[in-house]
Amino acid sequence: MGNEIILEVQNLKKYFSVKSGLFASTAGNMVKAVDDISFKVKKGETVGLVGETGSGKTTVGRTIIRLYDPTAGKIVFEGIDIAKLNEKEMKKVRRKLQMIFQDPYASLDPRLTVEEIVKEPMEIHNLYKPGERKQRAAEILCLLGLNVEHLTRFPHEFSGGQRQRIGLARALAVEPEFIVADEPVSALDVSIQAQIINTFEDLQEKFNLTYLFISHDLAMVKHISNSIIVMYLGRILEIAPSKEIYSKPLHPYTQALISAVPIPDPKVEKSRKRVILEGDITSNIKLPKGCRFRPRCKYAMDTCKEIEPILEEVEAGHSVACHLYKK
Amino acid sequence: MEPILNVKALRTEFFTYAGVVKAVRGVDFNVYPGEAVGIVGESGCGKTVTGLSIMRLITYPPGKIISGEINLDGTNLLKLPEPKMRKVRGAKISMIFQDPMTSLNPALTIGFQLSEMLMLHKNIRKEETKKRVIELLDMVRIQSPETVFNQYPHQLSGGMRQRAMIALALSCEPRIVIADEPTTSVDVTIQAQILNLLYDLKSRVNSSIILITHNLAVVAGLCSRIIVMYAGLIVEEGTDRQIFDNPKHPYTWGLLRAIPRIDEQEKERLSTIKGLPPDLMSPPKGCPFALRCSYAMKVCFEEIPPYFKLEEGHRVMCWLLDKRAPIVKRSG
Repeated sequence: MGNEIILEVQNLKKYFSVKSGLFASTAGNMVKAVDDISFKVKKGETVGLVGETGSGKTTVGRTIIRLYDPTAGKIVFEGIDIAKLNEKEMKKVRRKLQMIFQDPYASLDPRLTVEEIVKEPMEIHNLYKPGERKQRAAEILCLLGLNVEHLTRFPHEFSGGQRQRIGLARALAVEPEFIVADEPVSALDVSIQAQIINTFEDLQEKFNLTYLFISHDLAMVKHISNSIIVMYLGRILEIAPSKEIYSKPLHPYTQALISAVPIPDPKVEKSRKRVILEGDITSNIKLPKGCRFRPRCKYAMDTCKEIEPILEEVEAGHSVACHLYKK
Repeated sequence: MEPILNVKALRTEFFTYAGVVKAVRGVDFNVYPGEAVGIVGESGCGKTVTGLSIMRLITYPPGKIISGEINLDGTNLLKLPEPKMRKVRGAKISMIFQDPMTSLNPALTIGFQLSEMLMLHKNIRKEETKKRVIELLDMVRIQSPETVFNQYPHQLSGGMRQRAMIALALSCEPRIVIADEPTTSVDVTIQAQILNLLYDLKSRVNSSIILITHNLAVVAGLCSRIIVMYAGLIVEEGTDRQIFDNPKHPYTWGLLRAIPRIDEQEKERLSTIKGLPPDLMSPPKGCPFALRCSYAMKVCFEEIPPYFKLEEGHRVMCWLLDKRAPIVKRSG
């Protein structure tokens, strides 16, 4: 693992307009799905992105690979700001920047065979000679624990775990450097989750891949990541090395998230004190003034109502956006 | 103590065009008053079908309960005619389904769906039901229950819907609540709220809970007894401590090691259970887990192992516990 920064996101914003009714104004009502976030990813490492449903984590992933056009901000990938590239220029970058989706049932075209699915990205990017592509597809499948016979089959013939491997094969077909994995194991059984996670780790070692691993499962994110970004309502609340996220969570929201994760050990689990977060994540159309987490925070002070805290580094590699840690 | 629910030699099969799927292949267990029992296992091991069989919600065709007994307070539910069963369902046993979006009626308000239950089973006058329903919504910690009373399922968030489902399941204070993966489709924070809620209700209403899940971590905090199912059979059963501290079946070992722990100090590679569960249309002759088991012996492929009883309440279906078998140590 080097110290080379492969991806730097600067002040990224992605707003969606809420239109309800035919003549609704699009100016005022905006969902601020991602609201001014910045972070860096080093080459060869895994960064975990966690948060509840509605925190904006999927939008971050999709904006980085430009499935969405950012509202503002920079996405610097290997030294080039890709936020404003046009489709043609972006195509070149996309070869290096791939995505794996959450739902292994919806993200594979049911009318294509596995061979066609895995070959398609090679055709789009004009990689390999047409005659070599099948061989290449077979190699990737074998690498992922599938075999050559699977090439002629259709997605519905596979189990969830196998489909997620096909999705991974499709992403790997173009030899990417950076993979955005959006909840890649959430839809799978625990035993299958472990298989896929191990495959992720093996591939990273083999090809020096960089991952942005998006998930709401903190235990899994902590397991696979080098550092973890905690998001809430479009903002980053904490960035921490994954070793410190359990031993030293700083933000009250991170603390609550950690305490909500069940531990598979009745001795620990039945004696643990839980911080139960009451209520649901609030809507990000009408954001509260001041800190976004204030309505659910038990440490909320007067300043929290007025001023929104900014993300500041409190220790090497550990940043938090909370007034409790202001000097 | 007498068990409140006794399931005996339950077999449920599905008659499909492709063949007969033997989903539950002879399951016995008891549930005692006020206790929480966890049923764990991978997809397709028969845990949900066991739950649905207890509720008698298996529809024919294609599904059918082939044999066995389900005794609730001494009455065999499988012998009850459907009109009588309707009086039991919801009132004495109720079920919380996995997906609250598809299991609530989208065309009826939350208030209506809850009132319906109360009027059907409790003979409460219409005027009084609203008060009771609001109490129930309040009990499951839904904020502003008066508003939610008049709302439709699509107006609620996933966590709220799941709580409304729980209110529905508990409305008649049933003796047994079957919760089928109640937290699989929600966030960890909501999962913690729901597990806490179930724990509270268990102590308050003194209902028994059967919690069905694929995640052993979820049962750790709530359940005092755990049943591990595989390929339609119970392969291990024990108290929470027996299963977590001293598991004996290689499948239970595999399940336990596959989950990353948030409190792990040093990163360890996750262990996996290689392969997939067997096809239940033609289940293997011997132990169903033998093909995936690293300790499998010759006998494992020949004959299904009997239950070996260890301590009080701990039974394991595995040939490794036979006195002629080599002693293996749990790895990891």
